Amino acid sequence: MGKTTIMVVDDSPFASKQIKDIVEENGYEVIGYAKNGEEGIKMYEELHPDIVILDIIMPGIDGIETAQVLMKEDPNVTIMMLSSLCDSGTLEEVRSIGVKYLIPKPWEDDVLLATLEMLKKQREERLADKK
Amino acid sequence: MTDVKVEEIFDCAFVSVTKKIASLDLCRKSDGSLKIDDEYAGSVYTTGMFNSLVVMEFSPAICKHIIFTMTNGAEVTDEEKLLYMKEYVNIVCGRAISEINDETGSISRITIPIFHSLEEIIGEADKKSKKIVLHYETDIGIICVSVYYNDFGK
Repeated sequence: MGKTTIMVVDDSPFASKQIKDIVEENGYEVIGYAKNGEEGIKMYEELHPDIVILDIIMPGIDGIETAQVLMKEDPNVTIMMLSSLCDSGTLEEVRSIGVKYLIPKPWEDDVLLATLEMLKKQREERLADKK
Repeated sequence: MTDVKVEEIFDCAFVSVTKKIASLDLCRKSDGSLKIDDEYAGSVYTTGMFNSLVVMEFSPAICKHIIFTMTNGAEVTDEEKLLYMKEYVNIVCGRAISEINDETGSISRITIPIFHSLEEIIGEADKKSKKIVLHYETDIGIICVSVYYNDFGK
C-alpha cells in the first residue's frame, strides 16, 4: 500500500511548511498545497488526496465553506480542520457540517499525528466496508 | 466580562503563543512611554459579541526574530515575511478570542490580519469606547499591543 496522501489548504506558509516537515517524517506524503479555499477546491478535483488539512480563517471563502463544497462534491472526502480559533462554538460549527476534528494553532505535533492516524484508520475501514 | 479579564486574556495569549512559536520571553512593563520607531503595525478586527480592533507595533528586531524562528532560519522573500507575521498575529489573536468566546459563551470571529501604516487605523480606533494597552520588553526589542473595543454586544 502506498503512502497516505495529504493536501494542505492554508494561506500561511508557516503552517504548510510545519505540516509538511512533520507528516513526511512520519510516513505521509503532502501532494498539494493551496493558499485559499478556491484553489483548494480546484486542486482537490485534480489530486484527490486521501486527507485534506484545512485552515478556517483564509482570504476568500473560508475553511468552513470550503469543507462544505468539498463534501458536496465528494461525500467520501476526509477532512481535518486547523484554526487559531478553537473555542467550543467553533468546534460545534465544525462538527455541525460533518467534520470531526479541529486542531488548534499552534498545534502539538503528537496531537496532529494522532489525529491523522485516526483519520487514516477510519478512511481505510470505510473503504474496506465498501468492498 | 470585566476589562481586567479582557486584559488578562490578551496578556496570556501574547506571552504563551510568543513563547511557543517564537521562543521569546515577553516581559510585561507598565511604562506607557515605551516608544517604537517603526511606522508599520499589524492589526486585526474582531467581529460579533466582542467588537474590537487589535493593533500591534513591533520593533524591527522583534519582527526579524519572530520570522527567523518561524522559518528555522530559512531565506524568505519580503512578501513571505509578511505572511509569517500575519500568521503570528492570527494565532495570538485567535487564541485570545477563543478564550473570550468560551468565557462568555458567545461567538466572535477575527478578520485576516493586515500590516499597514499606523495613521490608517487611528480613525477606526477612535470609534471604540474602551482601550487597553500591553507593553512588552524583551532583550531584543519591544512589542506594544493596543486593544480598542466596545462593551459586549455593542
